[in-house]
Amino acid sequence: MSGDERLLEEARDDYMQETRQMLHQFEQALLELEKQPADIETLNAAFRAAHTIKGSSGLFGYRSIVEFTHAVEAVLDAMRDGKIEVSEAAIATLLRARDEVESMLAEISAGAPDATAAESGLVADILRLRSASAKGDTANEPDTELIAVGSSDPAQRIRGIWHISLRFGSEALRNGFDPLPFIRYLERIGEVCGIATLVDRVPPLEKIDPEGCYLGFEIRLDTDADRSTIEGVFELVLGYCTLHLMPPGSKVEEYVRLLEDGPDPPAGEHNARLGEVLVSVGALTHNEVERLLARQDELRREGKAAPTFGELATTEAKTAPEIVQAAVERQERARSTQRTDETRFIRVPADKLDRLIDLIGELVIAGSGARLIASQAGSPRFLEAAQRIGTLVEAARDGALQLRMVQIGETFGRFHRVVRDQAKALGKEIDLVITGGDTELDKSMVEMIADPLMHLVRNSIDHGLETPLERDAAGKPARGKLALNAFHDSGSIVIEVSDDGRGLDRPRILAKAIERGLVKPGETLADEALDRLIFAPGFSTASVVTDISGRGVGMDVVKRNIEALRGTLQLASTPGKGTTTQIRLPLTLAIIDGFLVGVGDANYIVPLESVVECIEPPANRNVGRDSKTGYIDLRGEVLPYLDLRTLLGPANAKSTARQSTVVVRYGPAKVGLIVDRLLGEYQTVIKPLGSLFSSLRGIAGSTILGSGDVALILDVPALVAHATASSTTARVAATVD
Amino acid sequence: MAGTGAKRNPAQARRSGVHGDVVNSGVVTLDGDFTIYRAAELRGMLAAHIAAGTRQFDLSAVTDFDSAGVQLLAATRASASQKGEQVEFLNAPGCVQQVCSTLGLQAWVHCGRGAV
Repeated sequence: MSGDERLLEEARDDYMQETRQMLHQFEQALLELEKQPADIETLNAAFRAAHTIKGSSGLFGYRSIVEFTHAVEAVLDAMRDGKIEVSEAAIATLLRARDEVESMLAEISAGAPDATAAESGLVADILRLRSASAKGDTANEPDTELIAVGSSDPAQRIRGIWHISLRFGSEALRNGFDPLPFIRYLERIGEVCGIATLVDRVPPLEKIDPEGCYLGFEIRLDTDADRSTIEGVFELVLGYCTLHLMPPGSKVEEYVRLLEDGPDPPAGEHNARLGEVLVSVGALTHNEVERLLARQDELRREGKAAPTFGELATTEAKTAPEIVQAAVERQERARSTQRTDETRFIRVPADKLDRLIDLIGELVIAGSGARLIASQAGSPRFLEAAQRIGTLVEAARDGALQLRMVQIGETFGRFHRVVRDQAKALGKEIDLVITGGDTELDKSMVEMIADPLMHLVRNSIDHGLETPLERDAAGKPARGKLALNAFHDSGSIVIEVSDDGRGLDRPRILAKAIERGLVKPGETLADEALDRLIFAPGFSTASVVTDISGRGVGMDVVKRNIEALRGTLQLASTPGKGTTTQIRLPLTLAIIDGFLVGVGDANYIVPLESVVECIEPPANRNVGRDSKTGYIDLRGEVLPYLDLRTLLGPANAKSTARQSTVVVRYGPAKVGLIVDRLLGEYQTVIKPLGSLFSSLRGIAGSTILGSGDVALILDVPALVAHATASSTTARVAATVD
Repeated sequence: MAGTGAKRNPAQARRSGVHGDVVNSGVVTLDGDFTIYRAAELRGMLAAHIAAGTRQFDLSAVTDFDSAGVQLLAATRASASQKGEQVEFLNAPGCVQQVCSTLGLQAWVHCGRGAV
C-alpha cells in the first residue's frame, strides 16, 4: 500500500469512527426529544450530528449517504423552524433513518465504494414528513435549502453552501489586515460560488480616509468543511471585522437580518440595494425580495412605521433572532469544550497497546530474575536496586493495564434504544436505570459482554416484566423497572441485570425439567437449583416463542460465553417481585499479583486478590471421605478446605512438618487451601497453558518464576466451586485427578 | 515625482509619474503601486483628476493592487457619480484583474481595451 493509500485508509477509519459517534449522538438526541419535544438544544444537537455526517460523507464521496442525510437534515431543520411537529411518529421515522445510515456505513466498511441508496419506503416517509408543514406554505416560498447559484445539478445542490457575511472595521487596513488574502484562502477549503463586495460605505474621494476600511463582503462558499474550519480562516482578523456565518439551508430571514447593520440611507433604497446584493450572490431569489419589499410598502401605506427589512422578514416567519444567536453561541461553547476534549485523548491502535503490555510482562519476569540473583549474591545494595526496579515495573504494569480499561457505562448506554424499542413492541412501559456506569473493565471484555447482556435484558423485558395492566392488577406501578448495575468486588467486576417483574416461574421450570428428563418426578430441588435449570441447553418455558426470545437457545449460550471469560453467572429470583442476574468477571487478564505457595515439590500461584488470610490448619479437622476435602472451624465459622497436596500433588508426596492454610474467597464463598509452604507475594505474568490442557479445571494458567521454574496458577473460582459443591443435582466440576 | 525602484516596500513604493500634471480630461495613466502604502497620496491625486474632469484612467502601469486600492477605485466612482457621471478603468494589468476577480468586481475594470 502506498503512502497515500495508507493515509486514505487511515482517514477512512477516522471517518467510520467519527460517523458512528455522530450516529450515537443522533440517537441519544432523538431519544431525549421523545421525552422533551420542546427542547431546542437537543434538536440542534440532532441537527448538528446529521449535518456532520453529511459533511464528512461528502468528503469521501459517499453520495448515497450524503443524499439521504440531506433529507434527514432538512426534516430537522424544518423542526427547528417549527414547520414540522416533533411528534412520536416523526421521531420513529428519524430513528429508522439512523439505523439505515448505520447499515449504509456497514456496507462501506465491508469494502463497497459507496453504499446502496437508502430504502425507498423510508425515503418516501422522510420526504412526506418534510412536505408536511404546520403552517400552510405561501405560494412563492422557494426551496431555500437548494441554493446553488444558477445550477440545478443535484450533485451541486447537495454539497453545503455556506453564507459568509463580513463587515470590516475602519482600522483593519491601517493595522495591516487586508481582507484579500483571507478571502483568497477560502478557495483552499471550498469553492467561492458567489461574492459581492459591498462598497456602499466607501465615501467619495473628498471625504474618504484612504487608510481606513469601509469594505463588506457577502460570500457564498460551496464546501464540505465544518463551521469551525470556515471560521478558522478568519481567526486572525476577527478583531477587525464582524463575521456572520450561516450554514447551508439557512432561512432567508436570517440572511436579511444580518445585513441590517449598515449606516442608514433612506429605507427603500437601502433595502432595494440589499435585496440586489442578496440576489446577486444567490442568497435570495427575486421573488422573495419582491415579496418582502411589497410587504414593507404595504405596511408603510397603512401608516405603520416601516420596519427594517430584517425585522419584517423575521416577523413574517416568526423566527426569533435570539434563538439563532443563542444557538451560535452554544455551538461556540460546545466547540471550545470539544477542542479541549480532543486534546485530552489520543487514539491508539489496540495491538500496539498489547505489545506494550507483553513487553512489560517480560520485564516483570526479568525483574524477578534479577531480584533472585541479587538476593543470592548477598549484596544488599544490589538487592535494594533490584527491588527499586521491581517497584517501578509494578507501577508501569499497573499503568499499562489501566490503559486497556474502559467504562462499562458506554455499553450500558446502548441499551436505552433497545429497551425503548422492545418495550414499545410488546406494549410495556419500562424505565431503564443505570448505575455504576463508571466501573471499568478490560476493553476486550467489554466487547464480549455485550451479547450476553443483551440477551439478559431481552429476557427481562420479554418474560420478566409484565404489561401495565398486569402490573396494575398485581398492585405494582404501571412502569416496570429494569436496572443495570456494575461494581468491583475483590478482584472481580460484578454486573447485575435486575427487573421488578414477575420473577422466575418455578413450577413451570420444574414441569419442563421433568418433561425433558433433567429431573426425576417427585424429586425436590432447592430454589437456586431450580433456577439454574434454565441454563440447560435448549431449555425454555416460554409458551409463546416471540421474535425476541423464547426460542430456547439463549441462557445456556449466555452462560457459556460468560464462562469463556472465566466468569460466573448467578440467579436470584422472587416470585412476583423480580429477578436479578449477576455476572462476575475477572478484572485483569495478563498480569496479576500472586501469592506463591509450595505443595510438595511443585509451586503454585494463588491470585492475591482472592486471598483473605493465612492460618495454621488446626489439628482437628473434619476430614471428608476422600481426604481431599473437609471442614475447619474458623473462629466459629465452618470453612470447607481443600488439601492441595492430596488434590494436586503426586500420590506419594510426603507431608512436611508445618502446613498452612490459605483462606481464599470468591464472591461470598470461602475456602481454605492447605499447602506445605508459604513463599510470599509474587508478580505473576500469566502465560496461558496450551490447548492440550484446556480441559483442566482448577488451573488457570502458568507462569515462569525468576528461578526459571514453572508455577501453575490456581483457578480459585473453580476450586471454590469444587469445595462447596452441594450434593444435589448441580453437577460437580471435574477435578484434576 | 520620479519613480524610486521596483521593490514592493513602503519606503520604496513607486510613485505615480503624473502627479500634478493635470492638463486635460483625456485618459490619465496611473502607475506604480496602488496599495495602502501610497493610499493617502493617491487619494489626493485622484481627487484632483476627478475635479478636473478626467473620467478615464489607464491602469496598465499599475504594479501592485490591494484592498486599499479597491477602495480608492470605489471612492473614485462615488465621486464621479456624485456629479452624475461615470469613470472607466482601462487596460487593467494582471495584478488588478486578479483582485477584481477574487472580489467579484470584474465589472469595474476593462482589460486590454485601448483608450477610447
